[in-house]
Amino acid sequence: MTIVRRGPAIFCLALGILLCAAPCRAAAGEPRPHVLELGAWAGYALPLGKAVADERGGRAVGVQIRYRSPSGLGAFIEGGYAPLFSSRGRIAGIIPGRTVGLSSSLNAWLVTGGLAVDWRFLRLDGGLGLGILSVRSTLDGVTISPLQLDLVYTVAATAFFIDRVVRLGAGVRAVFASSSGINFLVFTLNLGGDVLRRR
Amino acid sequence: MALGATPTPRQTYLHYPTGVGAYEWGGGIGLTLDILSTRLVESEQRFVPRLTGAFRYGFPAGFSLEATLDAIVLVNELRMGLLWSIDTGPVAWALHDRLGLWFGYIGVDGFDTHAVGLVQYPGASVGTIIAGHHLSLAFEVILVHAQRVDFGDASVSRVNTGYGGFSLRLLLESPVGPGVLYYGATFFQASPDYQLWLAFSDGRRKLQFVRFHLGYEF
Amino acid sequence: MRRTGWIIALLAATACGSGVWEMPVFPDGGLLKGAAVLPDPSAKFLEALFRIEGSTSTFGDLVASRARDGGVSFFGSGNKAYSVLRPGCVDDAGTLVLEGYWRNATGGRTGLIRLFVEPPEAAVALCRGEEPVDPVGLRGAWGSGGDLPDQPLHLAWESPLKQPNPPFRVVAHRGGCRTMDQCGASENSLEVIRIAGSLGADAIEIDAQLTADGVPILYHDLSFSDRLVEGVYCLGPVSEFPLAHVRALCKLEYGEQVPTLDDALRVIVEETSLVAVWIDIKTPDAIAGCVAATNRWRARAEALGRQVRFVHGLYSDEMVDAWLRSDLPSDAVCLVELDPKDVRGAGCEVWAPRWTRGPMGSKVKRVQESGRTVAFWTLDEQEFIDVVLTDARPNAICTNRPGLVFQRFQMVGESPWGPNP
Repeated sequence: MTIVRRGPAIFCLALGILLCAAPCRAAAGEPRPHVLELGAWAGYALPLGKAVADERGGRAVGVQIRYRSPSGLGAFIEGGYAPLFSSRGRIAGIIPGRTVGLSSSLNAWLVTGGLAVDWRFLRLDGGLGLGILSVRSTLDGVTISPLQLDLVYTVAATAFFIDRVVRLGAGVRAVFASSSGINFLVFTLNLGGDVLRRR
Repeated sequence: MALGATPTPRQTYLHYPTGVGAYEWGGGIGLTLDILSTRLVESEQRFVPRLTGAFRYGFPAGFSLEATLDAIVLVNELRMGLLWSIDTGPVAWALHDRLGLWFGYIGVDGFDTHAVGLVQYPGASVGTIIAGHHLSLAFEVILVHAQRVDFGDASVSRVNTGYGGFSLRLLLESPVGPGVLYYGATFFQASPDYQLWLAFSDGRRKLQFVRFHLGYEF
Repeated sequence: MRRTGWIIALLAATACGSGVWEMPVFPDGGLLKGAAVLPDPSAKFLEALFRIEGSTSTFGDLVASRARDGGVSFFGSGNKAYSVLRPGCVDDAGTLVLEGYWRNATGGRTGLIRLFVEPPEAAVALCRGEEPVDPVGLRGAWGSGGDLPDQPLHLAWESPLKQPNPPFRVVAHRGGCRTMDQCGASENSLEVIRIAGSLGADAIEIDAQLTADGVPILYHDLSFSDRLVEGVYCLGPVSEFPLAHVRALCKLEYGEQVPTLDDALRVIVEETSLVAVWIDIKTPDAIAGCVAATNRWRARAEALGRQVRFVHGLYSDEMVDAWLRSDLPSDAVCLVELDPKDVRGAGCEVWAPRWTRGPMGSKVKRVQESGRTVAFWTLDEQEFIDVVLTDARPNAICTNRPGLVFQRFQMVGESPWGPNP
């Protein structure tokens, strides 16, 4: 049996993919303004790895506030939620002579911040922040709800098909929880709007 | 912004392969943050922030001289090196070799330890410009030449300890105001003891950690 | 640029990761299948320093052998390989064969090894349970991975082992080794405790803390995470998991259960020849439960005629204060990692300085002369081990590489200054 851990490597892999995805063409057009943008995303979270669970992933949501500079460089703060795993069943051998019910779930809450590059219709985000990994497990009627704080890295790529004052797009974000080894992707629909523009 | 690897005139870039012209110089200050995973340091995650200062001076024919100082009490390192770069249109390339002298001290409870070491970082970089942002990717091999650890009233010296791992750095340099903001991350796959913070560790397997960079060039 | 990015990304992804290592075994049980068990005292006659002839790049020049728990192990210096073998008598007890695995101590290379005791008269004597007249040698072969041994190997008798008085003890960290050391079992597991002797340990250090329902279990970190356990719901502070949840949700990296302290002490007392256990108590609230468990198993050890020393480790001022406040049996043995004055103040018997403070030779000698023992932790590198062995002369060293410390003591170590047992 070989169990391979690739957290930091996946982070690097994602950076490399973003690098590959970045088109080697320059932007053209008039200078852009300073912009404060509010946004939200909703989508489906999909855990990476081979962890066994009855259900993997689920509907995830997030909100963002971001600043875009005229050069396309920006910064963002984001909060998000993603359900990752849930299982339900009966288990023997834990309590002598009995088969008991066991239901468990693992959800992630994220508060991250970082830097972004906007180029044409494409946006690349890279950030880090706090992840709160929340377990809830009930065994034979006894429920525990431990929380694990963790440093998370996020890398996201979003393509906008409406790119005006209101922005609508689709993207993928990868989240890597550095200590707990929980890594997942979120496939998102993104909606945003400029709330402040200044030249 | 034009396609190509040639930097903006009169603007120097410390990390981009062809970032300085002949007889130009650039300097910068910033922060690095090493995030050492639990797998590396055990039990709890640790953060090692460092102040960093960098200087680069260009010579003709693509050569430049570099010097970098990373400083925190725990680990400090002075790196000096020579870089040769060439512009090939959409991308620019560089070969570089840096020599690092590191030193550090730990005097907290349970430690009475200081150490010095000599590390060489040969490597290569590639860069391109995207919408005015200078993107560079640098690969470096870590060669550990010597290390001396003083612990209490004893010391241990090592020479020719050999290959210590590699690093891969992705960095963006973006013009902001009169200078350049740089930011990015380095992925390390390195021996735990190639520098002081883990000179006390024993593992010879290469472990992974990430270093973040943020700074300003002027 | 696009191609460069892909290449770099793939390189980074493939270069990373660590595996869970399992020891290779001979197909169909090898020659030991059906072999007669070596009589109990005979394995001791295989304990010696041997000079390696051939294959020194893998095994080193000099290896020290030890017999424990029915096996015989050979330990090289530095990062050379160690070997864990089991003996058996075949050919109607005319041949003594040892089979097992070797493993590069830090590089992860491994393989099978098979050795025959020579001369034949020595093998016959050992299989009869008698001391051989002449020093023994070993001749055989080793192989890589799961391949049958085909590289010749000869171990020539060099000298008998040192028998220090007072004794020097090798203490295996985390029950035998850390999970990341890939010695064949997870740290703080029953399985690693079972193999600790074969890895070179006389004693072990284990970590204990309480579950939510007050059961002392073996686990190092204060939170469960994938650093040490498998299971997506095994995540968060250990103190919030009742034992039943630990059993249902958590498995150690090699698939073992997280053991209770009682399970571990039972294995130490009933299944091994370990002479001491250092219980590193992680939280103050676990002191009473740990002492109660050691009392139970000390009584059991005495009933079995076993000499096992149960030592309770206190790593901080807070732990020392909690120990002194607790209503504990007067014969509970404790260890303090702080300064010698703290050891005296707490009425403890063992001082365990971190090696990064230096050897502190004169201080170690004073502590030993006061009737207390000194155990340095956690030393894994040969250069540092040698300095501590020669400059400090401690009673014990805690290590993730017990075989290396054992070999280094045989090469450069001297008896501790005291206390006399």
